[in-house]
Amino acid sequence: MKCRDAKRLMDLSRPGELTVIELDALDRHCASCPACAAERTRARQSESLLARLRAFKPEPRNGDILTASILARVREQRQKTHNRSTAEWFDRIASWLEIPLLRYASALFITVTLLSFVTQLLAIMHSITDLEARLARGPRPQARFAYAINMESVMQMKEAKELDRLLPSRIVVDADKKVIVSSETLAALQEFITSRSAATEESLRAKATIDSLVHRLEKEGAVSLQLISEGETR
Amino acid sequence: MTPAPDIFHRIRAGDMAAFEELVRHYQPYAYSLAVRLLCNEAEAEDAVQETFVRVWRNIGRYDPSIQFSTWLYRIVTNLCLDQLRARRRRNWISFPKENEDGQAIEMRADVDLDELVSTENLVSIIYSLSGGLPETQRLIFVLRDLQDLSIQEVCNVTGLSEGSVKTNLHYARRKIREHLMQDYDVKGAS
Repeated sequence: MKCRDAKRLMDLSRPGELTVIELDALDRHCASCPACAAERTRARQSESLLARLRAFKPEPRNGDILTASILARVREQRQKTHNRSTAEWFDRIASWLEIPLLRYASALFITVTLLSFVTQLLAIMHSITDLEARLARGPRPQARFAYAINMESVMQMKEAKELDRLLPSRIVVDADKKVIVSSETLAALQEFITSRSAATEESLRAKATIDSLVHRLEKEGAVSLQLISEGETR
Repeated sequence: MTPAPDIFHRIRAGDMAAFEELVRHYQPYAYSLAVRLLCNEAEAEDAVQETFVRVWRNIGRYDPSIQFSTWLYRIVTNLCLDQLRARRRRNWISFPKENEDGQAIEMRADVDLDELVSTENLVSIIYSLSGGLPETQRLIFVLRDLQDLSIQEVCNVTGLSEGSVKTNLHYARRKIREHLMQDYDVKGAS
C-alpha cells in the first residue's frame, strides 16, 4: 500500500467505513511507515474531539414554544388550504401528472373528450341546419300522437241533444288549438256514436277516429286531439 | 417513544394531535441538524418550523418504505442549503470564533469539552471547523460526524453514491484535522 492510499483510508476510521481487508492493509502499512503512523494518531485525536462534539446535542432555547409555533403555522396553512381548495386541487393534479402513466392517461382522456365534444358539436350544428331548412320549407306535419277529429262531424253530432250534454263540459281547447279529451269523454262519445241508430258517413268516420283514440288512450294514458277548423281537410 | 406506525395515516386524515406527536418526537433531530448546518440558532429554528410545515403539506407524498427520519433530514438539508446559498449571495458573514462574552473560544485537546461546549459555543466551533469546506463536504461531514448518520443514511439523504460520500468525507476530515492542528493545538496532544 502507498502512503497516499493509507492517508485516504485513515480518514475513514469510524466503524463501518472500512472493510476488514482495508483495515488490515492500513495496519500493516502503518506498522512499517512512521510518518503514516503519526498521521493516523492525529486522525484518531481529531476523531476523538469530533466524537465529543457529536455527543453534545444542541437543543432549541424553548422546545415547547418552537412546537407551538410550528403547530400555529400548520393551522394557519390548513386554514389557507381550506380557502384555496381549488388551487390545491390544481396542485394535486399537477403532482399526479408527475407520474408518467397518469400523465399519458390524462392526455388520452383529454384528447378523446375533445374529439367527442367536437363530433357532438358538429352533429348539433348539422341538426340545426337541417331544422332551419325544414322550417324554411313550410309548416311541419302534426306531432305523432295528435289525432284529428273533423269538427264538422262533431258539430253535426252536437246537433243531437245527447252530445250537446257531453261536449261543453268535457272538451277543453288549449292555446295551441289542441283538444284535450278525457278518457270518460272519449268513452261517452264512443258509446254515443255506437248507439246512434241512423249512422251517417260522418258519424262512422268520427267513430273510427274515436276508436283509435280509445286504443291509444289505453296505451299512452292521455291523448290530445288537433282541432281542425272549418274548411280544412284532414 | 417512537410514534405508532399508523401516525402517518392519521396525519393524512388531518389529525392535528398525531401531527403534534410527530413534531415533538422529531423536532430535536431536525433542530440539531439545522443548527449544525446553519450555525445560527434563530435561523435553525426558522428552518425547523418550515421543515414541519412542509412535512404537513407533503405528507401525502411521503413513501413509508423509506425511514421518516431520512425524509425529514432531506427536507431540513435542502432548506439549510438554500439558506446557506442565500447567505452567501448576501455575503453574510458571522460566527467569529468567540463565545457570548466576547472571549475567543479555545478548543485544546486537553480542555474539558463538556465545560466548553454550549449551544452558542458549539455553533462557533463547528463553523470554525467546517465553515471553509465546500458545500458537499460540509454537508457530509455534518451528517456523518456530527449528526452520526450511517454512511448508507448519508447516501439516502444526499442522494450521493457510497464512493462519493466516502471520498468527500475523506477530504473533509483531512481539512478539519489540518485546521485542528493549526488552530486548536491538537498536534501537541498525545
